[in-house]
Amino acid sequence: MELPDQEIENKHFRMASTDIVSSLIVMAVAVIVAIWSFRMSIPSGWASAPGLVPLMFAGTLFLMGLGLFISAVRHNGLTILRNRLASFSGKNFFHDTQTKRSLWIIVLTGVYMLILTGRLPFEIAGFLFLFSTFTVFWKKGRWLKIIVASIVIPFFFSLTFRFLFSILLPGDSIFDYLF
Amino acid sequence: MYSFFTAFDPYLMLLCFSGAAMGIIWAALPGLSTTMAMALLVGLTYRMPTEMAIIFILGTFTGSVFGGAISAVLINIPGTPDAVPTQMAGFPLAKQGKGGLVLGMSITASMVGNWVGILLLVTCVSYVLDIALNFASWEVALLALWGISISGTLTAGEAPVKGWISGWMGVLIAMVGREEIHGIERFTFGSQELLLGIPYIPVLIGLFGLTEIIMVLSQPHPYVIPQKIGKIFPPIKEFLKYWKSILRSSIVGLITGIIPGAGANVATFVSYGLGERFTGKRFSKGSMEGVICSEVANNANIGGALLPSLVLGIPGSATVAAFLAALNLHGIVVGPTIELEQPGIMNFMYGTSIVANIGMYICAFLLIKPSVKLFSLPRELLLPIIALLCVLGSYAQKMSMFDINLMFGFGLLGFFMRKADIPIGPMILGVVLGNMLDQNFRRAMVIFEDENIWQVLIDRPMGTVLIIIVVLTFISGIWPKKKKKRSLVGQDKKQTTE
Repeated sequence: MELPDQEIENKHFRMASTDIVSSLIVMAVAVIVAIWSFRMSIPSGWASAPGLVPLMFAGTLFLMGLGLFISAVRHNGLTILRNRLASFSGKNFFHDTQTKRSLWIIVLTGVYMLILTGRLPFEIAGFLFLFSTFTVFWKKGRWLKIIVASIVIPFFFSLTFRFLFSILLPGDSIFDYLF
Repeated sequence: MYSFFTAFDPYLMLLCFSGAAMGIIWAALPGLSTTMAMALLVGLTYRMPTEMAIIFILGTFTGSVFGGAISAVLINIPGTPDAVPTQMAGFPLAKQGKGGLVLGMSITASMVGNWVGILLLVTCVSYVLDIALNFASWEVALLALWGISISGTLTAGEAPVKGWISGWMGVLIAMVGREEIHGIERFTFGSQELLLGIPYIPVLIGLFGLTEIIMVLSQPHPYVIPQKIGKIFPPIKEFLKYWKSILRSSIVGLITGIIPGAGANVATFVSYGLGERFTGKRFSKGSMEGVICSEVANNANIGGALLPSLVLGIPGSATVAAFLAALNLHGIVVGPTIELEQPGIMNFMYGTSIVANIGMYICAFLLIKPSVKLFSLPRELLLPIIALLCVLGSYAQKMSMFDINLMFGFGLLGFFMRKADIPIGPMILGVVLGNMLDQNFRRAMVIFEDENIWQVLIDRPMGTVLIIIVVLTFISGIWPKKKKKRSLVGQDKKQTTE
């Protein structure tokens, strides 16, 4: 069995290429925020300037990003990243089960939250989302169970939140249209 | 005239218990926060007589503070930001089938935290207020900075810099919107929706709720929480074994509660961090003691937060502000004259806190079994349902579709952060505390403008102590890395052998 300290070292190496990318993003964000903060108006001196705290945090964030970058480089991050990019195949990427499942759930939640919610009554949007998600992921669920659950749950939430707590629902409730 | 014993009227007690049960259920649903529970249920008390309203609201408050732990432990989605440390220590144990016992332990810890909070509140009012009054803008800013940095150190394991990056990004996110000193827009890009800033509720739901949904459903075989609950009442002996942590966390909870703005978020992280430091254990692999540290501090915080709110009229947190609004609705004026204008009200509040605590304890134990049964449903069935709640929770606060879009965006960000092994806990703390840090820091800079640095360090000893603590937090994260790694390796080996 591998020793835990060896595991920690391996993890550092495994993550090194990812850390290179993360640290570059962090440093880029920090530089952009620092420039914007520096350009903000200064109504009465730097002590109370609106850009002071963002500038300080962006500056230290840049240093942290740099620290992460150096640590990743010391763990061979650049070489590992180069090898990973060289061996990357789009075909393999999209054939990986985990990637496929991640994309499915991101697309389904994205369509539900960004497109359906607010445009359709809450219960209908909820039904469409639950039905499609259960169909894709709930392999043990039978059709009848899937249909019943997809109908009952949005209605239960709608009744509880709309009528018990008097909270307006995104896209309104079917009951608002009916009564 | 109110009295201590008014709170023990059977009808009032029943009302308090129902408030506690509603608070627990509300906060157990991911994304529905304590503040929201208070704000909504205040409306229900509008027609109630004053003492009924107070006892119901305080019951809800106490219940909802604990409720966040249920979803944190059982589905890895903290109901409230202060439940993040409970999630870190409790969820790994729930995966091992100890969900019932962890919840039992956290209920008992919550109750003890409440008791100690009440006791310290009644006995040490003047001393504690003295400490609180020493906290001006400078100290509050430093405390917020400490909270964010210690959460970074705690959540990132062997690479604390990643935790700090996450916390710092959170602070920058909190900078979006119109700042409150000069009213100047920052990072809004002309968007009307961003003028009021980025609210923390959609960020919390996105980072924890949606991210967890994506992470778990992307696994071909998602984890299962065992349905068998086993024992839920923790053995008293085992609980008392942690008396040092209980006492330490109570004091941390009470003091952070009293400091305006710090609240339970800082309390739980600081208490968890001190717990790890004092015991030399790593709680994030699953630890009852970690759960105790977080829950005791969280609940001791209630008493602490109520004290300055009632006596000075300064709300310690948004939740307490909602509580004050409810009192105001019933004509109770808080502040230094509270006892003159409403004789006996403070004693009534003490009595109410005790009843609410008992109510929380009973209701929480009654709700453990149904909660474990519900949250042990197959993830493929449960998590899409949680997605509906995520939408409702994001929308409910401001009735804004923009908040749902924000939640989705932060869900994706959280997913990529977890893939990159960057912890998401510090980011939410940064978002919650960022504005407080910004305003207080700049106020302090204006006050100190004409003073030299040494004078500030000497004149404000509390601030100087906090600076030293912040610096030590960073040093302990960077410097003795090898030594720490070695000790953790030793611990890992020990845990594996056990």
